[in-house]
Amino acid sequence: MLFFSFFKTLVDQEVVVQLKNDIELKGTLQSVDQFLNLKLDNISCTDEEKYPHLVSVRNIFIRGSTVRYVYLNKNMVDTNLLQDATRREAMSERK
Amino acid sequence: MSNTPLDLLKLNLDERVYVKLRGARSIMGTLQAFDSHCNIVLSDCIETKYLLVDGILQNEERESEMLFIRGDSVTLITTPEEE
Amino acid sequence: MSPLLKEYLNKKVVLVTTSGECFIATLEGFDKSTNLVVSNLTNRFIDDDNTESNILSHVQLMRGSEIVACGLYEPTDQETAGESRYIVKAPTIHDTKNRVKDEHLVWMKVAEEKVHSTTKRRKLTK
Repeated sequence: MLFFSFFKTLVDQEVVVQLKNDIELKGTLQSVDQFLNLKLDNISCTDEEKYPHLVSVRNIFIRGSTVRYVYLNKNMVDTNLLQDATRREAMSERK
Repeated sequence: MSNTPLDLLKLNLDERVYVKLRGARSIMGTLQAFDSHCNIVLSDCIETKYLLVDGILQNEERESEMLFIRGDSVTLITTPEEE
Repeated sequence: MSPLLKEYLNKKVVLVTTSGECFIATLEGFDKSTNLVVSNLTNRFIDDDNTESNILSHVQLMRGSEIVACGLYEPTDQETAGESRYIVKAPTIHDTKNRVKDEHLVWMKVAEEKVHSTTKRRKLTK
C-alpha cells in the first residue's frame, strides 16, 4: 500500500506519465486506486504529432499495469518521509 | 535481521543504485522507496536507453529529478560499480 | 471497487489497447479489473479504406488486460466529432510488450564496453 499512499499525496500535482507503448502524457493527477490505476485531468501528449489519438481527450484513465515511469518534481516528495515509510513497509510485510 | 532479498535493499535507501529494465533500459539514481513488487522511486536519475544500430551500440540519455518506476519493468537492482 | 471509471459511464471514450489499436466507443460497464463493456465500437481514425458506417461491434466485452487507457472523448467545436477523425493514414502506436530484438546482445555490448572502459582507466592510472 506504500505506493498507493504515495500517489495519494501527489493528487492535484502535475505529473508526466510514460506508458509502456512509449506514449508520454502530461496532466494533473486526479485520482489513484489500489492497482495504481491513474486518472489524469487536462492532459496533453508530449508528442501530439506522432500520437494524435488523444486530441479531444482531456480526462483519461490509465491502467496501472501499462505505466512505465511517472516523472515527478523534487518538491512534490518528502524524501525522508518516503524512506521511513519504505523501511516500515518492509518490516510489516514480513509478518 | 535481513532475511529476504528486498530486506537487503533497505540498506541501499538514500544510496545510489543501478536498475536494469526490460526493453534495453537502465537507470542510475538515488533510492528513495521500493515495495515488494519492485516499484521504485529514484531521485536525481539518469535513464539510458540502448539501441543496436547495425551492430553498433548507441544510447539515449535522459535526466530527471524524481522518478517512479513500475515494478513489472524491473529486472535487476544493484549498486553501481566503483568509479 | 475501482470507481475511477464511473464518471465515464454512458459516455463516449477513446480506448487504447496493448496491441496498439485505438477505438471510440460508449462505455456501458466495467469491473475492478478494468474489464469493459462497450457499445458502438468504431475505429478512432477513419482512413480511406474505412467507410462512413464503420461500426465494428454493437456490444462488446474488452478484457482489462488489453486496455492501456480509456479517455473521455470531448471534441471541441473546431474538431467536431467527425472531422478530427478523418486522417489519410492512421498513425501507429507501439504495443506495450517492449520486445527489443536481441536484447541479450544489447546487454552483452553494454557489458563489453564497460570492461573496455575500466581496463583503459586502469592502464591510465598505472
